[in-house]
Amino acid sequence: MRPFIVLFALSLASGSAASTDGLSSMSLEDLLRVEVAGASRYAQPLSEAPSAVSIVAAEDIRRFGFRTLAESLQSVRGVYATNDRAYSYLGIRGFGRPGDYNSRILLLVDGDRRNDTIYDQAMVGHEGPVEMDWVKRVEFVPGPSSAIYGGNALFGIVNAVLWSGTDLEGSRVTAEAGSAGMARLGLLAGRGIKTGGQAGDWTVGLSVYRKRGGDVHFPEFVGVGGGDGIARGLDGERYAKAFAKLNLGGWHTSIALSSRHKDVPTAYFSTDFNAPGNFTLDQHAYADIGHAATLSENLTRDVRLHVGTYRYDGEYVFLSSSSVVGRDEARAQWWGAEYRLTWTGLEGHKLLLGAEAQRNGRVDQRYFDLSPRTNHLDSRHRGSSVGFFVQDEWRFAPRWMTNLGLRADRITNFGTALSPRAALIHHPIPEASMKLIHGRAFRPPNAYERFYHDGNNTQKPSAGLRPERIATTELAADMAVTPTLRLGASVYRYRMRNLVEQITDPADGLLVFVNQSPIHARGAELEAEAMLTGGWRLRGSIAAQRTHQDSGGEPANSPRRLSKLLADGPLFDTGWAFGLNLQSIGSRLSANGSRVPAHVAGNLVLRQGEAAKGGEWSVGLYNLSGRRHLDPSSSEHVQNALPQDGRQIRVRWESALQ
Amino acid sequence: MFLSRLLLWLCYGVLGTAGLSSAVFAEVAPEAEVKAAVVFNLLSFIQWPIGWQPTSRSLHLCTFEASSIERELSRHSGKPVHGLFLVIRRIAGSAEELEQCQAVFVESANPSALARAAATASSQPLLVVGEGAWALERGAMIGVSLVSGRVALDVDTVALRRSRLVASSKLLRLARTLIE
Repeated sequence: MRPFIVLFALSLASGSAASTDGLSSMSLEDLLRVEVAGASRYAQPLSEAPSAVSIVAAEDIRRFGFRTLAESLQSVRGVYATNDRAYSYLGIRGFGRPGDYNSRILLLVDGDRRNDTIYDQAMVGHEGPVEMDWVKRVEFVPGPSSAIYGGNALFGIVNAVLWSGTDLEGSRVTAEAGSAGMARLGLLAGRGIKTGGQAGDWTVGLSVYRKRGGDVHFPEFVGVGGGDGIARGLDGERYAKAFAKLNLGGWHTSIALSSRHKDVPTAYFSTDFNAPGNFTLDQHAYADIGHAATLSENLTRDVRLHVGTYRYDGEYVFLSSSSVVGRDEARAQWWGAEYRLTWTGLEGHKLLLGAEAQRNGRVDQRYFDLSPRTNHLDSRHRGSSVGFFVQDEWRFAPRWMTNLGLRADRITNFGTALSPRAALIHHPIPEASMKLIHGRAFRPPNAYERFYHDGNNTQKPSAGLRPERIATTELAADMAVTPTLRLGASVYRYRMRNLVEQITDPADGLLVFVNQSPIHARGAELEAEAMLTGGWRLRGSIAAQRTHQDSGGEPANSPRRLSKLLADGPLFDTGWAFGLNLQSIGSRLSANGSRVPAHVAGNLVLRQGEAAKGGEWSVGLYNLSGRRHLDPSSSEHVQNALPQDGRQIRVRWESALQ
Repeated sequence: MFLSRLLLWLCYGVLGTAGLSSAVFAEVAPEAEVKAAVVFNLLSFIQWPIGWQPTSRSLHLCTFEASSIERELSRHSGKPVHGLFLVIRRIAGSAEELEQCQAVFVESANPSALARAAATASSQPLLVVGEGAWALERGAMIGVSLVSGRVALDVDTVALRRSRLVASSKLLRLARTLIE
């Protein structure tokens, strides 16, 4: 019985929170025995993923004034962002299918999935549940990661790591104003907690945003209704977002809410041009609670329960053509559980075992005319998924490491999918590393692709869709040639099967989703970072890729060249710093096969170098040239390409309070 | 004996899973405080080359970014290490700045800084401490990471020697991973 008594005594004592003074008087040996408080102790940071991870650090977010996740990811090699004035989309290594709602990218916030269960959408613009001010760093893992994360992780994972209370120890208030009647207010606050035998922290964030929106000129609509092709005052946007998280003892809990309303000026889906009333509304709510515990010296366990809801409303004005306003409503609710064990009992190994189960209790899509009310679609579904995964990280020789992972997913209606990944990592000298990675991933067609239709007016149901599959191989190297010059390079090959894409069925002229013939991509990326004298820093990357479809031709929105140049540093002795960010993107095809020209776009941000009393000011000029660049459009647009914002200014004030 | 160990293990498992016992070890402290204390402590176990003197009476531990660990590290500034006063200094990472540092601590968020610090260390004695399980793979001599809820040290003695630094045998004993 002795073990029981010892155990209960220890449980009741429940440890004492060591003070900093207590810690600094401890020996190194004793320090290595102190148990670390908080949930982060069990999470494997994504930055340790076996891949060529790119990181947008907190300093970069400030230096370059990134306003959304999409904008920050655009600084990453091989990544490009597009916008259709409703949502932001990411293209990765030549894959950026117009109108795919980012369903092939996994969005994580503090390591937790944020794709919804209808469109599988990774929302990386203002529509998403994340506010840029809350983000401490953005981690981007290119390539498939289904071996750990299951579906959607085909082209990459975006993980937004939020600031925590121990980072903040106080609050930050921000106010912004800018072009097109933009105004934004934000609050972020948090502190460490030490009570009794426990330690942890709390964090809260709030943000409200409003943009009146300017006029947008679409040459395709010149003459429509005798007009000049300008959609006037139909580009407005507003959102409100909130989050809170608490870590205490082994427990962690969080909640996040967001609502975004966007007017859509593009007359998509054949709606009336220059008519008010076309909008999209996206609302998210997430909550989770988890507990992490050390079961033995080498074994830790993390368990987490989560719930989420997503709501989409969209209205489409057809008053001039058919005297109706159509309304889309999508409602999703899901809940699930995750269980993870990490074992480090065998020398050189780190073994991860996990199980996940999710129930999609509500997957509803409706489409109807508002007045008179006529139902066209009323689709109600449920489903569930279970996944098991195992990963071993093994240092098998000095400077050599392997990472082997395998995940099995069972999803309603789609049977079992296996996703393996293998990586070999070698670092011959401390300042250089090489990685060889092979991975496979899958994505089951989402509820939108499977069930959405508008009563066979323009779109019919898509039966018999098979899951998409991708296999990739990548070789990546990274080296600091000198203390001030770092070089990175990678070459890769992707092969994708069963790509789900919307086409017009020649038999009946209706839109339908089908599996496409295989797509192959090969590419190379080169990156350099140099520290110059005077505290200036220069970073640049070039990506070249070639994608072709077996059925022939070049896929849409697949630029062959992407170049980026970022420069930042102090502005001489003025006390101000600058961040210049230039992006060049090669020509691309739009969904209807017309060519969208290449362009270069640049942003410049000036900010006070040191936080002064009374707050820190920064001024951002976005799209320096003022030229309205074009992004390829998807099939629901009449336009071949959609104009982006012209020159914009943003003035930002931030004050930190202790 | 085997049975009692098995029982104990099972009990930890059951109670741990039930969430009754999140702290079976004596001390609990925030991650940043423990990591900062470990980094400060291990400076005493590193020997810089004889005849190599910093220009001032201080030992500069440089950091690249604002973080909770940096803030906790700065609580140790002014304390004596090898008879010198510890100075915590934030740098952008230029060559001139790195020349002034005797040690750097690089957050896991910043792998490119690790590689550049490693390149500096090939030409001057510079202790490169990195955060995260993969710190050694990215150029650190000493990695500070979390394993089973406690701080673990990984040490690459070859990288240390290349920078003419010597780690004490006690530090090597405490290392989880040791590259020799």
